[in-house]
Amino acid sequence: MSDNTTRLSAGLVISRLAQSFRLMVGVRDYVGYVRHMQQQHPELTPMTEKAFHRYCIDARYLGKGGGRCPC
Amino acid sequence: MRNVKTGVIWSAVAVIGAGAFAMLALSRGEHVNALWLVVASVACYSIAWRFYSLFIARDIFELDDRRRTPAERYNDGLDYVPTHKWVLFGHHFAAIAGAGPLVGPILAAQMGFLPGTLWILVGVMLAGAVQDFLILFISTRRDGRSLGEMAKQELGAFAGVVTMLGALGVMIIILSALALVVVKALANSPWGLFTIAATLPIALLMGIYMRFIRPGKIAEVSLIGFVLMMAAIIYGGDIAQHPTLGPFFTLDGTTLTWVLVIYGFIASVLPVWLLLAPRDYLSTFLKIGVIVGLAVGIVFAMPEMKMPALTRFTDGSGPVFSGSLFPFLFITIACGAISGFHALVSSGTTPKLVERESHIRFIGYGAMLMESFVAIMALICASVIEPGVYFAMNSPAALIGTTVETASQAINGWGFVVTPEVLNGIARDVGEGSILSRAGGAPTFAVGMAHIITEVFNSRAMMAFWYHFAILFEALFILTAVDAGTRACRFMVQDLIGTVVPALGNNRSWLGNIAGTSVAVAGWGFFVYQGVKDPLGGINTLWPLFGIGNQMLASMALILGTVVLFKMKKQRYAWVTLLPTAWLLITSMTAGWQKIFHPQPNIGFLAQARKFSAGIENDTIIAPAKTLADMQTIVLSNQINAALCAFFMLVAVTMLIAAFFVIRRALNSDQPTVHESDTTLRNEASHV
Repeated sequence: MSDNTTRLSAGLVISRLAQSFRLMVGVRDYVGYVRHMQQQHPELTPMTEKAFHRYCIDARYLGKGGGRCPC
Repeated sequence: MRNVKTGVIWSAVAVIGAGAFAMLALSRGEHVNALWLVVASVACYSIAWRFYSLFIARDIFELDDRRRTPAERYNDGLDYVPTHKWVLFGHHFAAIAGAGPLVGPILAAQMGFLPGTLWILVGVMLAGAVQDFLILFISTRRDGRSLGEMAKQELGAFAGVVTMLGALGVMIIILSALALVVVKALANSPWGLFTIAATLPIALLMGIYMRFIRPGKIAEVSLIGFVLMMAAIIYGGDIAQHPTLGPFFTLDGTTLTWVLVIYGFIASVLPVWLLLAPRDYLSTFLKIGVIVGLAVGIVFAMPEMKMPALTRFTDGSGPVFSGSLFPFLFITIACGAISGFHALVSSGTTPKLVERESHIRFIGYGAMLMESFVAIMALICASVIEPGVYFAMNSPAALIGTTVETASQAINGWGFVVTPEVLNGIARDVGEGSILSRAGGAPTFAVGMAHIITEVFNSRAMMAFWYHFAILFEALFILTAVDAGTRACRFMVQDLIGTVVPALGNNRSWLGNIAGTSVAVAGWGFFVYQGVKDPLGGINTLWPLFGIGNQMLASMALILGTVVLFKMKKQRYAWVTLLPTAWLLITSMTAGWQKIFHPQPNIGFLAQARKFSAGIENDTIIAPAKTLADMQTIVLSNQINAALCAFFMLVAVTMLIAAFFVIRRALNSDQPTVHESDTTLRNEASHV
């Protein structure tokens, strides 16, 4: 039982780390986005992963007041 | 019982911290282990985090987890998403940590490691982390609005425009100072230049792979890029030795500046996915890796600090930057103690992702403590190498000449022992022709880091690899910042042009893009060029200018925060922001005044301009100028620098006056007058 929970939390740590590293370069959580769209807006078709990725790149580098500290 | 236990634990932390400080301050004449510096810093951070940030969160901001954050209210799965606090902490830290905390502390090490350490620690606890926390808090309470929008909302339209103009000015200066760091590191360094040049095709390959072959596979594409980059470092040594390729990659400072300007122009009109995004991935991950690796390295190697606690250069006669400890230490170390740019980041993406109000303390205050630790590590890197080597690397050629013999003679005259053989030996170890006058932090950081890592592995064989690895890391990071910063400037410039000629303001207008980019590139390009021609070595001039601008931006953010506190009717706690604001204004105003009017030409811009214009009248060429035209450039540059410095000071004064009237009005009102978004509460109850 305890073994099971540690493995679960190790998996969680890795997935959170991956999510954090992706967010560092402006790439949002696609799975979370699709879940949100299915739950809140079932009538709409969510973006494909490719389109989602392109959206993230444009939002990070072409948006105003963008991402990071230059110094 | 629990209180007693907590009391004992925190008293122990305080005692350990005080003991570590005693070790640092009292062991005169012998080398102190760098680990004491780490212990002292961690003790300070823990206490500040546990007590001061909690006080701010609970008593002043009254963070309330029942209030729904913008991420929850506007959740769209894209831009507004409630995000786990550790995930967001990583994002926020990566967004605020840049090359700044690596450069400032290294320059400040000329006064010894103690002044820099004290300012970094006291500054971050009472000023820097407070600012980041504050701005993240007020932005989260205002739907994640930007600094400019909030200044406009709380202080009026004029103050909003002034804030944005100030930010544009600081942006141009920081881009030029950073670009100059790259020029100093890569001039006449074929190995370094080749590895940086190699990142261009690597990034293009990654960009195409990610766009068309495997979109969204960040880890995979970054790993490919990383392996190729390491190969470039390893084979860079052979390229540098190659009879035709070696000279091809050996460029002097002026040529390199032109290459950089042309690169900056092309890079910022290319599609972002092709070059900017992949390089950003590489530089961000490399940065996090280097920071973690360096922390581990310092703990394992436990290096001794060769730099004394204080040097004679606290009096202002230092070769790395001129001017006395007060006020110049406090503007040289900006990032790491307090950085105005963080106010822009803290009011950017992060507030739109905060899940609960109580997380703001961890993300805002906590991430800045981490950044401060990066600055401490940079200071350690500069202090573990021999002081003589440090001064050889960071002093301008005007003071130490261009050969190892003249350098060693000059540095021995200052009381630091270094022989020509040692200087040659280090250059050989790191695979460079010369390490003299490579000011700007990156090369010193690289030598320090290579020193620590070789101590861990106990072998000098890899020293050249680690040196070029550290140079690659900083240069890659800086070039990505220059590329992204040029785009940001372009948007600002296009907005301005758009108000006159609407057609050019459109982001899809090619003519508008080219015009905006040209203005932005010419802006920072001019300062880099003057930096290369500068008799004081450029960094000496540009870095204080950046420091003054950055601290002005920080005091503007803190003034905004103070106004908000008054409007919240929290004036009895206003000292929390007024204290750092006052200190920032005192130091940056004094520094600004001295940079403009100081009678010594190595400090005052106008005195330097007068010296060279007197030379022009008498037809005498003053080194390093070679022609009368060079002399005229130096005169003009110094006049422009003085004007820019005055502009920064004017911006801060304007904000101060605007704030004064708004605060008076807020005091006359008997209820809060803030412009927070409407409060919507969640049903479940919880608190800080």
